[in-house]
Amino acid sequence: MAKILRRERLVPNLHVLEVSAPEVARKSLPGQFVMVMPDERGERIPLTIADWDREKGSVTAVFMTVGTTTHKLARLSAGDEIPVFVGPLGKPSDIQNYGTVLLAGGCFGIAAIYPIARALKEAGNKVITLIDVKAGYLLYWEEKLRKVSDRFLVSARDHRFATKDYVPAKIKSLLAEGAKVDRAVAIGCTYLMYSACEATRPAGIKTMVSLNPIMVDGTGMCGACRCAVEGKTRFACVDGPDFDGHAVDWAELFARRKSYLDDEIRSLCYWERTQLAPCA
Amino acid sequence: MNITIDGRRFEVQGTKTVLEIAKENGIYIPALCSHPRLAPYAACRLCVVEIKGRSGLHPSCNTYPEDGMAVVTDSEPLRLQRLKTLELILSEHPNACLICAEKEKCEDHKASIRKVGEVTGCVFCPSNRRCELQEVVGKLKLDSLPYDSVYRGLEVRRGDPFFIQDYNLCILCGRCVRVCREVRGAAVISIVRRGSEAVVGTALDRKLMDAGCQFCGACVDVCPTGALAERASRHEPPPDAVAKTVCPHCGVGCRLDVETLQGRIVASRPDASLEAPAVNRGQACVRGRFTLRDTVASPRRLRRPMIRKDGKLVETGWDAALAFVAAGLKPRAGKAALVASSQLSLEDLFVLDLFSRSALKADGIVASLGPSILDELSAAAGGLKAPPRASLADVAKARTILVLGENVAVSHPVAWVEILDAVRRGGRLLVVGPKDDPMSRHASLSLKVRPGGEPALLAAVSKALLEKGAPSGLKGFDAFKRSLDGSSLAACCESAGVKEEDCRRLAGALAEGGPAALVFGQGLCGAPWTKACVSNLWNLALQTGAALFPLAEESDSFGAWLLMRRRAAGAPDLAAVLRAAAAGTLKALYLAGPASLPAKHGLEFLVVQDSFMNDSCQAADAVLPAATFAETEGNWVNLEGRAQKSMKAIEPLGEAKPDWWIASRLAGLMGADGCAFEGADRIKERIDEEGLLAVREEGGQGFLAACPPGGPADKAGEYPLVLLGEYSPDYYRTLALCQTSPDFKVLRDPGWIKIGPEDAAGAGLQEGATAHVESSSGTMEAVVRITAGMPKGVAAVSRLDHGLSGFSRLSAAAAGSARVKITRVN
Amino acid sequence: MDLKDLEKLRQEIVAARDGKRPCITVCGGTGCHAYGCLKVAQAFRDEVRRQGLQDKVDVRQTGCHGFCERGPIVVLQPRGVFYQKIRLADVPEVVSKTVGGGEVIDRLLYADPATGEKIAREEDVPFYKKQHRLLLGSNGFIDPTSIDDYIALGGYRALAKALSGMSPDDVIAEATASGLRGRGGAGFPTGKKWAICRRSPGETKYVICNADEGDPGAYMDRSLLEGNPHSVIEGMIIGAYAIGARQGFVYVRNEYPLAVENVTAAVKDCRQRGLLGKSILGSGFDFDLSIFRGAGAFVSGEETSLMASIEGRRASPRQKPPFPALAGLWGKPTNINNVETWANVTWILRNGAKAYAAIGTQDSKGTKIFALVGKINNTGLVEVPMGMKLREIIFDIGGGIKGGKPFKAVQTGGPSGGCIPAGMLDLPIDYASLAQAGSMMGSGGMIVMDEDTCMVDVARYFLHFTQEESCGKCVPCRVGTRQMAGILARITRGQGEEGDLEKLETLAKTVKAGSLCGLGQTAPNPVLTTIRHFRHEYDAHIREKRCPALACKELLTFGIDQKKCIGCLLCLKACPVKAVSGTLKKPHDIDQAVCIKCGACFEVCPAKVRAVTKTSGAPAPEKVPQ
Repeated sequence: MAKILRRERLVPNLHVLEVSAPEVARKSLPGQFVMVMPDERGERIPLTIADWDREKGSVTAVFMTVGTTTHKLARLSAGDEIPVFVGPLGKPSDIQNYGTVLLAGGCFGIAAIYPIARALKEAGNKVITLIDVKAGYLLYWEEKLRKVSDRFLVSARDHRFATKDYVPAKIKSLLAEGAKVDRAVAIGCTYLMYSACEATRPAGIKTMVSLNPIMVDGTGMCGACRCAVEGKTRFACVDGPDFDGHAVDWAELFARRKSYLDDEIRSLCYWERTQLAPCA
Repeated sequence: MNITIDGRRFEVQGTKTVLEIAKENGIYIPALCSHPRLAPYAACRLCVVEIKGRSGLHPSCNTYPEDGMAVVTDSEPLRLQRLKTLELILSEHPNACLICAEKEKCEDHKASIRKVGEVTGCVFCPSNRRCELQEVVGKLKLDSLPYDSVYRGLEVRRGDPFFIQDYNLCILCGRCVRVCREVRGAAVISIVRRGSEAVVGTALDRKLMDAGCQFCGACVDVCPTGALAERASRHEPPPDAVAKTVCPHCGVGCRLDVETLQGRIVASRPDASLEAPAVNRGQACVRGRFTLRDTVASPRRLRRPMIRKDGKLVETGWDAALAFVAAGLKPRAGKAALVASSQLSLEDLFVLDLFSRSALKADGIVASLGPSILDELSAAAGGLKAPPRASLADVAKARTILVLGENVAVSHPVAWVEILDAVRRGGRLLVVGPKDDPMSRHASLSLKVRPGGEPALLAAVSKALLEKGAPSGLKGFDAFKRSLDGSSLAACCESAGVKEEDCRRLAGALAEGGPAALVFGQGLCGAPWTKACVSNLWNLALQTGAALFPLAEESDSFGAWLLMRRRAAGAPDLAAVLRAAAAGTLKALYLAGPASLPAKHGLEFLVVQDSFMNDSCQAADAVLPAATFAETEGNWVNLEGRAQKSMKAIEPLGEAKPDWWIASRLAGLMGADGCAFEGADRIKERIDEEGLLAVREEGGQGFLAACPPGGPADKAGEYPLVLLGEYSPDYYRTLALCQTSPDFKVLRDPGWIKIGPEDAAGAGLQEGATAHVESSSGTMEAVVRITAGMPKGVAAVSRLDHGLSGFSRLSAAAAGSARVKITRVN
Repeated sequence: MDLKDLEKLRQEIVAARDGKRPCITVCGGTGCHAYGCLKVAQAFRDEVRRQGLQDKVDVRQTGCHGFCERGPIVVLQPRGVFYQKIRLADVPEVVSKTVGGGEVIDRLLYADPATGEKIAREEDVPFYKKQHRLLLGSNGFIDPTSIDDYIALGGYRALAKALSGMSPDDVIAEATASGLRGRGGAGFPTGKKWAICRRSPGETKYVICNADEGDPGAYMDRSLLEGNPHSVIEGMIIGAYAIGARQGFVYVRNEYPLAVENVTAAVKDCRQRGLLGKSILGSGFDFDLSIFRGAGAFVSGEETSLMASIEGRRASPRQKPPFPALAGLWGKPTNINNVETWANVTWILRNGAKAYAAIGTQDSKGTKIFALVGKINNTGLVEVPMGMKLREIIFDIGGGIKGGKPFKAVQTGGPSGGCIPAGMLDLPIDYASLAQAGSMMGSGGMIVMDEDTCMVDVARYFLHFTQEESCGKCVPCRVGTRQMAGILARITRGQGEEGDLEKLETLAKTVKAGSLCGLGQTAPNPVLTTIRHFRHEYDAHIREKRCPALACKELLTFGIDQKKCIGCLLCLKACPVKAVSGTLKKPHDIDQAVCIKCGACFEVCPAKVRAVTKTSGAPAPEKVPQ
């Protein structure tokens, strides 16, 4: 059982979860994830590792409340224990000195790109971070990210940032300015990663994406996380989660992620109803 | 008078606002807080127009035309003012998706994202593509905002059943507050706090269920944004089909739009179309609005036919099952009976009736509800051809309305909305009943009678009227007058437990002229004094010229009554059938409706035809799965006697078949002719040929002999409290709503016992504690709900016949109430 | 009691009073309460008894005399000797010398600040001299809780005149002829308003006295109701008779407890004397008044919200038409007038419309009471004829700006009034001219500002007020004022951007044109007038991050002029966050990063040294290396 040190709502729908898990903390590397179960009868879900403190033995992840399990997680607080906190899983992102790297992150992806940006910075790269938020009040970890990036951009639909464009439009304008980008990383919801790859494809910039298919065990056993990369079937949990975005069959990933939509909705409705205290 | 809008001339009367006139003539004026059913509010300020000769801007939703008025609805300053106002609205609303170019593409890929906890953009919102704010943004072509987005960060309120309230999406148009006050009369919510802190809330910030909300869903339906969203369907993508149906629950017959997605019901909303307004005029109640989805998709649904083989029910195909049942019934024809629920369609009941007569050689269908108010009225008046028919619209125009012994706000909520409409137009509401209920708040006179004292009160009122009024020329008047001379007014009032002066006020109000309506319903049935009460009501109606308005209880009670009226005299009703079953004279019973079989019975062959697994199936020899209202086409005859067609919403679940199909096939197998039908339309044609619905009442029935008030109230003795068995309408066929909807259990539960604060304290009972209730003939346990309206010495429990309430153990079947004592279980 | 009895009663009261009998009147207005006038009055009563003069001298606690700056005020009648700032210690001397011996005590007299000359009589005090106190004048002679005092001064004679000889239409004609316009702020002609209400169908009608007075800077309605409640009640009965209303309400805000008390007592007295209830003064006209206490919302001063509040609903306005005169309280025709308007009605009926029309200008007749507050020497209530110039009110009556500082602007009409700059000091005070200047008559609040007032901060303060008091019903007012207050707050914090003024102006236009009720329609006035008359201050805040009036805290810089600093450690000790560094006799310095700009150092720095500098927009003086 892993003890929760901190669970806080950062911005609407996004919560930070810091768990005491010394073994995981000792071995965590950027790009890896953990499998989490909020309670004995819960579902196992993958959460990208956003930070770790090897001395304190704590691992931090940021998750978005989009279903029963994440809503359950969001109701836990410091001191509670969660039965399953397994990891670090998946291949870490490969960190080299590529020259200039563009990292794009949206929603939970903002936290996911932080460790990768930090590692790339230490490896001597010139790091450009592009954060996508729908509105100003959804931005978090701005200071943390500014410290590890040479250039910090925001795409948002909010007057505060005087821009209205989404990730692809921002990447196109960045490239149009003549910024030299040798490599890119895009993490966030499937649509963000897909559209980021479409934006970097013409320029031929290799874009690594951290795929987020449905996972069950997260250790290569169940095959739920199958996805097609370069025509070959690969397991996101053991072969990934990082893949070359230009080689991924996005249509299949979109379809597979929606395959249990009805059951997820029914499960969330049922769980929300049980939150209502019966009167007698 | 005539006015010009943008140069076009219109001939209008003064009743419609400029906004309504413009909308009717295809001139678009943005408006977010106006609503056809609500008084003008003029808060969103989007609908401002210019009027020649008057300075300033005028909200067209509140401006009534004057002769020669020239209105300009589209000019540069107006366009700028509306755009600026819309920007202000959006500055406090999660507006990111509204101004984003990627919205369409993103929407297709992000279908699963609608399950987020807090809505921060249209893509996440339950009202996406249905939201009126989106429509106005599109029409005014707004694509950027000069203000930083603000998220009010109000906590999403999830503590109530049926729907959540996320006031971060609220634009304070006030429609929910106004519909709750002006249309539904509950006034549970209001705008609280001031300035930019203003938000919709309840008094003392209580939950809706603690503030008196009946969860009719009217506020959810008028909300222009996603602030109020139904719990069950708010995560679902938009529906792909809508079917026009009629609600299967109560006699009002509300038209509902059942929304389906890939062949499964997602939600049901009242039909709010303005062209041919339905009887419910865009309103519904908790049953029709929130429970139909759970009912049709209940885990208790029967999906395949079953027949009993060596003691165990085994699933089979239809052919085998039908053959088995036909074989079982054929030898026992003549000693069989058919009980049907009057929540089935007219077509179902008609074929079941034919099947019962021709194949079973019984005397037509027997209503599972037992004698309905229509039967009691017809019996008291010596066999009516057709019950008196007043339309709900007539009730809304009545000057005086007397509601007797029926909590219309719970049994027929949309009929209650029309009564409220009458009260709002200055009509007087008189409420008579054994206990206080939410209606008394709107009544100008609310009399609490001793349980069972209703007939005595009516007799007293008739006597008071006789003293004043001139004798009526109608038949039987003298006999009626003589029958009342037996007891004095004071005695009648004393027997009813009402002060004489109140009784005179009631009589005075009824005699005041102007259209009057006497509204009563199932609450009077199933009691020893029912016949007396109904005849006294009949006389009162003749004395005052008031319209009798019996509230037929179930969605097709009227249709069932039309069919059962044709039976021979002395044909057995439900009680007689059950007695015959217990005595063994009845050999075969065909149950197409809820009925609690006696423990020991002599039946040789029992068939259960229903949509849901229920207790009777244990003893059944064959169980045939029937389709629900949403899975079949047909007509339901509402309490106004109006047959309304309901369309099929989804295919029947499993192998369920419509009731008429099963009966028609069985009749064929049993060699009975005249029952073969290929579709509901054919059956309707046959019904029209027989003129079943075309029956009209001719010739006034005269006065009936009034029944003198019953003997003195029996003494307290060992059982001090009177326990009322309240008729509970919360079921569909054999499924009680609390069995399938956890939310419904919070609102009403047959396991509750309502008791006054004094009596509860006397017995040491707290809210929510379990009480042990004992009468001379049995005991039951129930959960205590302390209700302020209950008078001292009276308690009430639900009489739901689905085996969920122990009331039937406490009293004889037709007693209506029982003397009990209540103690604490510790 | 009927008409003849009223006259007989007045004779009796007057006869029982010896006109020449000395009477010590002590001002009892709320302002003087704060100065402790209750103790002073009690001290006089004890002193008079101690000196055995109790049957020869009266002591009367009256309503507000208007000159709040110099309270507690004592006036010795009948000679009108005016003493001001009376302390408990002066009481024995006043009683023995002035009352007993008739000798005037020089030090207690009002000294004209310009000439230093001592003025003995109330009328000669410049504050009162140029005033024309039709309504406030009798405050000094009446104990508000005694109906006899009011009747003795000719009270209810106007009502008797109306009820005996005049028909309702005559009364309406009299009000119309007088040219009286509503003192609530909009200035709608009262006669016309009554006529419309009288003509509306339906026999149940209501009259309401709007004593909500939500403007925090105005308290003339308060002093009228506290000091002379009967003059208001008499006016209401006359109005009700004219319109045909049998029921009236006085809507007093609960924050005026003394006014509530005095009005309630007055109504009880009237009922006992037959001046309220059935057949008033035997005339057959029934009318009764009830008091309704406002629940403390500024918006409930707006007529439709006020009516909603009386009906027990949430006080938020509804769209007009229909106007209250047609469908008001519970849907019945209702006439709502301000306290001051009702008091004017009494004066008009008693002295005739012609006499009233002689006062004031062409289209603004009679007098108006202003609450002269702010950086003015003579704070108080000033009743002046319409048309008097601003300069006369502020300098002749108001005694000029405190500390002789230059006049900068005056804000008239309460929180949604406009600011009028020095250049328009010769503006005559009436409805039309104030509106042209972008302000309004409004509640009659008149806040005087000097050079130390930052106009941007004033606009922010008033927008913050109206935004908080907005009822929240309609979008432009609820959200518009919030956005404007946000922008102004940003500007005062030095975060103003280019284009903010244009955004403020468009917003102001949207709110003014779109709002449902008066609150929203006038809320932008302070912003529009300050931008119109003081645009340079806005530009300084936005472009140079400088506050000319040195008022906006975030834009201030506190530094130490090394040459002047004598190293006395005073500022070092005073600084709450230890931002000051330096040793004894060595020039000190302020660490700008730590400084929270509280200004403590600036205050303690000795006057003759003046080493600490308070500047805005300029960097702190250089630190001279040791």
